[in-house]
Amino acid sequence: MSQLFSLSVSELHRLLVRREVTATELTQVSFARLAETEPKIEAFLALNEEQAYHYAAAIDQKGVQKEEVLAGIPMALKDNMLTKGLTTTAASRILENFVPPFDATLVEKLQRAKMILIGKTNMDEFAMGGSTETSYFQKTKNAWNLSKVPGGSSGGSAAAVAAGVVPVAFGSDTGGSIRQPSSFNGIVGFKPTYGRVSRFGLIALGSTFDQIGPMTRTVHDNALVLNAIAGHDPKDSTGSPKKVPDFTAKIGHEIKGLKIGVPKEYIGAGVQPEVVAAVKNAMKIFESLGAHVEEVSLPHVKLGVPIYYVLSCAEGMSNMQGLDGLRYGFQAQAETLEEMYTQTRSQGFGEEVKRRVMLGTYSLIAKNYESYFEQAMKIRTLIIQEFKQAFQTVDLMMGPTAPTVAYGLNEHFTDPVTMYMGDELTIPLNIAGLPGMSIPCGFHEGLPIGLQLIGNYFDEATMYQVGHAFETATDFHTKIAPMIGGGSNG
Amino acid sequence: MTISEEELSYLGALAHLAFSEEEKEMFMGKLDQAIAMIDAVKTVDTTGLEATRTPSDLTNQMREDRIEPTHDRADYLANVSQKADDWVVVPPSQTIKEGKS
Repeated sequence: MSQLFSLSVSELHRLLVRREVTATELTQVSFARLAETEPKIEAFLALNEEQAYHYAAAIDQKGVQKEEVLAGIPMALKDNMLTKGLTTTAASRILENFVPPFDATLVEKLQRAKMILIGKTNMDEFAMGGSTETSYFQKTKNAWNLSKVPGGSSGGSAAAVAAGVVPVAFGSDTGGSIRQPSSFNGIVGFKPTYGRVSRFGLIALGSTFDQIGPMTRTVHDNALVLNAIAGHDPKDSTGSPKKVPDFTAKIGHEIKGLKIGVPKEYIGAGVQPEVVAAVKNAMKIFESLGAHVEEVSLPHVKLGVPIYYVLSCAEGMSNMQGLDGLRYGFQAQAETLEEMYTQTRSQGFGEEVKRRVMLGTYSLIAKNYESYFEQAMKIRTLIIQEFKQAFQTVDLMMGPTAPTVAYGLNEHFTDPVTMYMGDELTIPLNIAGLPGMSIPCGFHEGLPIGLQLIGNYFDEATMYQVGHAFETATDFHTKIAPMIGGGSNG
Repeated sequence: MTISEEELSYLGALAHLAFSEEEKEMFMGKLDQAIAMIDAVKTVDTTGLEATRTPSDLTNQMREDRIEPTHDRADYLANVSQKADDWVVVPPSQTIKEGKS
């Protein structure tokens, strides 16, 4: 049965339509695999078992129609996406028992597509982190090596897909939180263009950076899922009204003649040599497929991390202000309202959230506002200009997703600045609002390496075309995570 | 140290966060490291550059206000820690407690 999840979503769909497998059976496969893997990887914070079977039975009763391409397919959601009636904690003590009174638009769309929610996945607290270690509840392990981090902040979603619990999971990406864990877990993770997918019902981190996207085992699966979740939502005023194309439309088209830029800053100092070698190998593969690969330069992306930590912490600090213990979540007992706010937040937030709230406050106080906050927004302009200029000569860009493969649990946990630098290759896209995708492109010491494709604004279809061409020429995406090693948590 | 204990308390008050003596040391150290990192933004000459406040090119689209059903009051109140009937109960503010209102 578990062999079923080595099939693509399209293959599963064909079996469902022909009634060779039922949605109930797929749900059983998911929960059976979860029971087997969860003690090792700890990817889930809440399960939706009763509802999932109920829902699957309803799908089976009617049967899956040919045009219902995602109906009956199990999936998991990061625990910062609101699910009516099912706890949504953002992996924080302050929301430990929070049961949302409504669904995120994403969740409504997935219900319309008839996907089956298996459970909510672990993450860094309020998506603040790159290893899923800042979760209040548990530390998720990497499915390839249990002594390594799964990356973050969408580490639970990535590990759940890599471990074969679900063929599809969802993450949110503020500075790399879909792409980096996808890279660390050898799966396909996609951050669409800013504004492509509604964020209504996503617990916000950095409002001018956040974007939701799919995490899957193949490029084609990913495009199919993006088809179902993209599009304008009157409830999200930052959503783009642009027409949503069929993201699978160019898949299978040859990439001959396409121009692919490699930003020289992406394969320079600080990137592990084995990662650079894997990306250079990918360049050769693209050339052998007829694409033209050339060097481009984005001189100011090296300032991506500092400006991101100014702007995203300022925005995050503001978004965290709603968490005061009054209307939902944990509440500390106190004599006065002010003391109640302070105690609720001091006891309810973990260290990393406090650090970022404090840094965001620091950048926003009157004496620093111009020199940090305004200044960072001006450099943001510069980075956007550089990307736009590069896209005048190339169709898309490529580089590594992360500077290294997955590192050890607890290895960087006490050193936030080193942890922050792990996002240096993903952050620039969020700064510019551009789409990015991580696809498997190699291994080092048994750990996956991710290739990042950077697309032009709203040109996700070309990224899927190129990603699929790469996948067809290689077999990295077919490798199965062995779930070995570890045991010591260290 | 860039951040003094006094400044940490000031920032903490703005952010509604309090720190124990032990935490103060740790947060001052970690904030100093983070500030040293973000100081890099000061190295760029940004004369003449506009600030980007959002990567989106959208402008506000206004529509007529409409009254329509939204969510159930009971669902919202279900998450409230302290309540009386349909009301959220809060402790008195510092000013009221001190009789300065």
